[in-house]
Parts: sequence; structure tokens; C-alpha cells
Amino acid sequence: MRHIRNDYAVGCHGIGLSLGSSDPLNLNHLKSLKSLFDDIEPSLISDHLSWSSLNGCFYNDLLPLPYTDEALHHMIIQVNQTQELLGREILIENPSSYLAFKYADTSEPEFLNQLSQRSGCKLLLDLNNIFVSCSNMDTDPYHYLASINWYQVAEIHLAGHTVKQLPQGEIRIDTHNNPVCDEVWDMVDAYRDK
Amino acid sequence: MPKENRPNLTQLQAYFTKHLILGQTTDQEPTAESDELLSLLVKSHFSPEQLINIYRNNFVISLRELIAQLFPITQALVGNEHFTQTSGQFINDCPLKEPRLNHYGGHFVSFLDQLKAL
Repeated sequence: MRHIRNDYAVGCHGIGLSLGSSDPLNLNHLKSLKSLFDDIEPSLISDHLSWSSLNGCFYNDLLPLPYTDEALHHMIIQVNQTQELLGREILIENPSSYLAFKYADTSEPEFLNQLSQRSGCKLLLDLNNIFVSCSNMDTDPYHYLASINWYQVAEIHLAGHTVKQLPQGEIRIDTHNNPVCDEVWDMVDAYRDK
Repeated sequence: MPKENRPNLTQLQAYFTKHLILGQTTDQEPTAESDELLSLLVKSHFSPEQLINIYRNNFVISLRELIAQLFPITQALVGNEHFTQTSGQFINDCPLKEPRLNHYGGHFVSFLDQLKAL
């Protein structure tokens, strides 16, 4: 890794911080990460707008948050503490979603904008995740993109997903095992200049 | 949904994780009316169980594949069906306790020793 770092900018992308969990931050994990980051000095550090643990048990997936004032307040505290402990700014990535909660105080892009503005973190936009979530929720990915505060976006991710056939119809699942689909490339083209 | 009827974040996450654990036996199938989590989901043309299953599969299959990679000979000896069942039971009974996977699965052998079924 040190050799690679000598020649290339390295970004560290995590799935384990579980920032949205109501559990306290895992300080041991953060200390290990800090040691790695101090050594590698990555150009970007990121994790997700999600949770994956409760009561000390980890579920190894990016689980969905309700977009409420309570969750936003909680995420701001968690991101602030993480940035303080790491001594660095982090990026937060939008997750792929397969369900939505009946209650919310805001939309996902506005939640991300607020989180970024109030915690000082930047945003990592995964355009495939936006496409997957919007397809599954029957919403418009271009409306999502238009709602994002692009001044806070520091990185873009692209990936492929799987279309799973269920008896009632198709659902898109973020699997990273396929090429980037045409619709996501269209989103890239539309926002290339941002 | 009125704000006073919302669960707080901790409650919601407890409802959610209950659905991620395999083999929970209940007297009757949970429904949108009787189950705390299912009643909180926006209706879609998929059932709430199908949607939650996506998250459960991501979680369980990833850990099951990890255990299979660590114990290929055990898998070959006991057969796929039995391995799937016992590894699922292991994931329930010995949950992942840290965000890294590096150390997970080490207790699978002692877990198998304890299973009378083998």
C-alpha cells in the first residue's frame, strides 16, 4: 500500500463505521483506522449514510436510516466526533435503498446537504446508488441530482448493479458485479461539468 | 404518520435487527398490522418481507460465504445443505462483534463440536 501511495492518490472507503447506529462510535475501530490513515495519508476518506450495528452486534450491510430530524442530528454528532478523532474531514456516501419509511422530515439529498453543511463533511455521490434507489422508490434520479448541493461533492462513485426478478416485478440490487449501466452513464454525461 | 407515533432511532433499529436474525419462530407470520417494522414501511408493489429479505440476504450470505471460504473441507464433508443450515445457526448464535471480518468464523469448529446433530 505504501508503494502504491508513493505513485498514486489513494482513497480509503469504508463500510464499518456504522455512523447512523444509535450505538456509540466504535473507538477501537476508529483508532485502527486512524493509525492506517496516519501511515497511508489517503487523499480521501469515506463511509456511508447508513448503520450496520446495534448493541455491539454487526450486520455487515448498509442498513437504511429514516430521514428525520432526529437521525440528522445523530449523524451530525457522529460525523463530527469521527472527524475530530481522525483529525480529518470525511466524505459521506448515499446508500442504495430497497425500502422507505413512512415518516420523514426531509428527502435523502436534502439530508445529505444538511449533514454536509452542519458537520463540515463532504459528499461522495454514488450515481449508481442514486439510480438503484430512485428506480426502487419510483422517483426521479435527475430530481435527486438537481437537489444536491454540488459544492459539497468531493467524489463520485460508479458501479454496476443486479436486476432481480420478483413475482411482482423487477427490483435493483447494488451488487458491484456488473458493468455500469447506460442510464448511469447518461447521468454522468448530464452532470459531467459539475 | 404523526410525530408522536414514530419510534425513536434506537427502537427502529431494534425492530429492524429482529428481522435480520434468522429462524425466529413466532406463533404466526408477522403482518403489516402486527409487526412493528413492517407497519412503518412505505407500501410498494413488493411485500415488506421481500424488501427486508434483501438486507437479510446481504448480511447472512456475506457471512456464510466467508465461513465457507474458511472451512471448505467441512463443507464438503457435511454437504451443502447441512453446511448452510449450521453456518446460518452459527451466524445467529455467534454474531459478528466488530466491524471487521478478519477474525470472524474462528469459533465455527467449536460451535460444530457442540452441535449434537453432527
